[in-house]
Amino acid sequence: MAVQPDNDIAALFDPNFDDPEPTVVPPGALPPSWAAAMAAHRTASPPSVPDPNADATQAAELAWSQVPDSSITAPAAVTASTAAVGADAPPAQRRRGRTKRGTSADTDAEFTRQTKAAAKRAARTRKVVRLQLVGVEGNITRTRTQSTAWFVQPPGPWNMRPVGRQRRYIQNEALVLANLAEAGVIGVHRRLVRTPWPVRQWAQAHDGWAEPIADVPGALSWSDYLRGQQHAMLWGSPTLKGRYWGIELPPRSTLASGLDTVSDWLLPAVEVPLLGRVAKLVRAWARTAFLGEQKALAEHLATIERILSGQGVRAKPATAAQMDYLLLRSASLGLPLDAEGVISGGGDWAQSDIAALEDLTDLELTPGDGYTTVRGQVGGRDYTGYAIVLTVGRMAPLPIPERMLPWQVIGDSSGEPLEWSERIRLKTTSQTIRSLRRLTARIEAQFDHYTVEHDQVPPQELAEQHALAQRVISDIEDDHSGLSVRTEGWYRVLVVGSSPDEAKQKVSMLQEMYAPRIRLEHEHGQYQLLREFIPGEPLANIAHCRRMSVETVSAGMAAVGDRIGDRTGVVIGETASIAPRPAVWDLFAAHEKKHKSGLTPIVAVPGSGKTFLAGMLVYQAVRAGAYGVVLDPSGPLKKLAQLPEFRGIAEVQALTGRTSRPGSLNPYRVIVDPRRDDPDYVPANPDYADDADPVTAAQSQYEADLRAAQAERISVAVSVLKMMLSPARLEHEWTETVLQTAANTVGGGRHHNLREVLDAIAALGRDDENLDLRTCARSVHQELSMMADLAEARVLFPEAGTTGEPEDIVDTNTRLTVLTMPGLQLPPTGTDPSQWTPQQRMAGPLMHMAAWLANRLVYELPRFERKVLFLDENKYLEQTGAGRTLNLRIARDSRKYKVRALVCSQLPDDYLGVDGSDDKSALTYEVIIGDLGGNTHAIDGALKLLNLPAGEGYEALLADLGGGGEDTLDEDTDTEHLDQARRFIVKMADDIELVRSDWTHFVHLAHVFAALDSRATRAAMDTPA
Amino acid sequence: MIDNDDMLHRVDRHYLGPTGFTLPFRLRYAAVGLGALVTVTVFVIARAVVQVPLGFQSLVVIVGIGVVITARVTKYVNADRSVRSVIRAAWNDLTAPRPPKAGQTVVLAIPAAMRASRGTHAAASSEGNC
Repeated sequence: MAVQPDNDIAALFDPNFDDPEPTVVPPGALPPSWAAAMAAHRTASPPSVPDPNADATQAAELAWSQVPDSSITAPAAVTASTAAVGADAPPAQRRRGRTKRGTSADTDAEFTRQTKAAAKRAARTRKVVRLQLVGVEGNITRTRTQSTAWFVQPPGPWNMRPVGRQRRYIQNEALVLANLAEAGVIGVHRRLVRTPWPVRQWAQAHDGWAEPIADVPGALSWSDYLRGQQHAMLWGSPTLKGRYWGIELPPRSTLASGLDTVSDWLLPAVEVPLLGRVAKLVRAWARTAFLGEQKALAEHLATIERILSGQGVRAKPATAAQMDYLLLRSASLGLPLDAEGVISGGGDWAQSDIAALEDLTDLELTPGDGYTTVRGQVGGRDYTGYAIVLTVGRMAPLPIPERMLPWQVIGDSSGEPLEWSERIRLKTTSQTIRSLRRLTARIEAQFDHYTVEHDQVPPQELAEQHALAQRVISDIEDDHSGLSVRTEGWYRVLVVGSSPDEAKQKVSMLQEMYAPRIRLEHEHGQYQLLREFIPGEPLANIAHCRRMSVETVSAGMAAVGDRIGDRTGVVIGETASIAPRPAVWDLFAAHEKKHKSGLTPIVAVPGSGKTFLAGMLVYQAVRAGAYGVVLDPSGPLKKLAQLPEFRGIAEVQALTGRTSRPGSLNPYRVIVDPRRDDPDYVPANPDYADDADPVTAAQSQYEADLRAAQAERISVAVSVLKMMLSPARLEHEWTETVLQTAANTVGGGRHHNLREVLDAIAALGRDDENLDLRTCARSVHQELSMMADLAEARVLFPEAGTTGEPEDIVDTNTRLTVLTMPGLQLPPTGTDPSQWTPQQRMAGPLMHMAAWLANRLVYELPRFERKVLFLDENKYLEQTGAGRTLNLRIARDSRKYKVRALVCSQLPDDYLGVDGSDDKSALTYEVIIGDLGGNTHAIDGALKLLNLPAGEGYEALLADLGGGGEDTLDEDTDTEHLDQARRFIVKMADDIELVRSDWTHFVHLAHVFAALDSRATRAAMDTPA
Repeated sequence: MIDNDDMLHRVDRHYLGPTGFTLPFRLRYAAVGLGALVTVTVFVIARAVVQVPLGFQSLVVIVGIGVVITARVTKYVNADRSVRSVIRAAWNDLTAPRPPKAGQTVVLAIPAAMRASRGTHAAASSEGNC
């Protein structure tokens, strides 16, 4: 096996490390570092690569679901390494033997002296490195003097919650600490550990969730795609948090241990006649005392468990696997996180296991360095890390949660995997009052020293401190909420770098992030500070003891993080509020698991990157086996259909222009009749369970739905014709009657078309009794015939004399249908409709019917298959009531037909009720809001859509969403440092997060980005990675 | 506003001098105590080990050395860091494990039980000179 270079973090998470890379790689599919590593690997590998490996290679290239036999084997590699070890040993022995045989006495003595000195040195260093831990039993770690019970708190949400709710989170956690203090707990050791975000598990879950389309030879295959996705997601080394609470258990009382010792001594004296009775009594006493002690301890543990499972913390006792992870991670701090680490998770730790813990890493410190050098092996490779532990120093008053993030979470936005170790001592009321009274006395004495003894003006703080002390005393004595219990604690943060300079730079960056309210101190004695992170180790230094109430302690909220999405679906981007983590969206969880609507409004102005985002979502969804229907009148999404991996399964339909099919947008054909064999009309359906006769009930329901479809066709035909009339004609009092009468004469059957309506209007113009009606009908007919003869109207009106029936077969082999409308002339915004040309007036009905057609295509696909529908830039739908009806219909049917409908718009008003009441926002379960251009009305509507309260600062957040950097022609300005990724606010269920859509690391999708041709990614691709 | 008790524990700890006589400089109580201790130690070392004769000049030098050492140490001492913690930090730094020197023989003993139970962290026996 070739040797990979040190500190190659990306290679650490390489799922194919054990097998050599395949030699044929699509060009440009891998980033430069991979290509270089592969080239180095190929030249450095020994010529005799064992052949059994070749078969393993073939099997390992496929994704998990594609491999017929899913047992992953690499036995050849293991035997090779043990063979290598075996080969090493004999030469060494031979060398030693030769030395021993052929040497003189003093060389031998020298060697023994050196060995003895080395052994003594080793014993001395061993003593320094020895851990205080003696063993682990269940969730309790023990040292010789102390036992600690460990509990694990799940991570919680924080962002975009109302301020009152955030305050409630803090207070609930504070109450847990207060209850612990009341239960008699003296010390708490809290740890925040990091685990790598499960990218490999995401890939496996995604592979299972998707039914991928067949691989096209020459294009990106499914396994290469998965590999590229994992690589891109690992680039930022995302982590998850786990918080451990270690409650120190009370030590044994002296009476109890004294009794035990005495009863042990008295054991041989039991046989002696008189003393024996005393001995027996004492032994019985000791035994009952021991049992009583055990019972008390069990009760104490039960109380602690109950308190910790309270609402603020909801912690459970740590399982064996979690204890393992805590100890292994704490002992190997400074090394990279172990993505493939094996957690034995079975059984308790004995003394020898603790000794193994000491050997995991080699720790070194040179006095004056300020950092600890950590050397060790992770995943079979050597790493050297430099760990610096910072201590929390002075804290000013903190405006949490109004204006600040919780203070333990401030540093997370740098993306660093910071770990926290907190040693907290809880003080009882009497202890606090006693210390405060002593403090008051000291203040008064110092005050006297200034004024009485030296006749000087005392510093002003003395008076303030005196008042503060009295206030705290009365606070503690009178407060019944328990939030003023006092604690003193030492709070340490760990920062790791791959070189001393990098570690120091990270330290200064972290100090900057915490300034000016909180100081982070970089102290001496770094080795012992690092060891403090391991459970059971003593406190390294009593400096920087922070004394605060439990409420301030809980305002740290170390366990909160960004929470959005799941770990199975497609990638939207990464979270951007607290810590960057992949934001993954299971597009069909709302339908399959939560039974909610699948309508997702995407509200943003043009140029905010929403078309690009939707294009990426459609691409990922179609790759994962969903059917996609895209209506993109002017945009670049039709190039998606031309990608090589969609060859043969994608189709582009032009709805206008030269290649459009006549009659394809006929309103009568676009609305489908309900199918008789639909599960909704089966008598066995639970809807008809209450009816006396389910069969007739089903039949009447079917007929009612049929009639409703016919009525809908008539009304859509009327509104399409109305959109084609000029405003002067529309205002005429008889126009409405003419159109309605004509449409009702024709009827609502599916086989009709608009030309028949036109003929009916002409008939009205000839035959009706009412003179006004006749005149109106004639002028309406005149205008509509003129419109019907336009080239663009070909799709709405078939040629005179033909029936204009296009084939109606929906090909289920076509997975992606892109509807485009080239050459569509849109009327300019803000102009009076009476000034539009006929071609511009045609745009309205054409876009309206195009949206209906897209909807119909979705309904004709198999009902229980996953489908994605994307409707772009439906400005014209918004301005008419017909658009809102369409949205309502999509929202209602998207759950039944398993459709993820991404509907773009510029104003949130479409999704709210007409008068601003949010009756329809209840139908939207997931929302994406992009840049709104600072429009305050749109921002208010967006807040209603997201269900966020107004006036709490979210308006500023929404106004600031524009990402994508700046583009300038000025040669002297360099705008590359600005963030090129677009930002969106995404709501999924109740989680609302700021998501950064950053595709720079997804190099395997470079051809997709080129097809979608966005300015931002083009600029990002040009800059060297 | 989330507030803490920091201000309470930063009580002014300066010694202005004996009653009625204000010293021209401000001493901290901690500095006074430590200074006394350091000066006595320096005195003992100077008299017993180095055998300096008792005289005005030598006393001034001893006191001067004591003052200098105390100033160096109390530079790090403030309300957050007590004298004990400063000394403890220095001790921690000095007793931390040092990087191994080149040319040293290193001997590692691996408990037999660990090898059997924890197979993942392969215990590579690295005997020999490094």
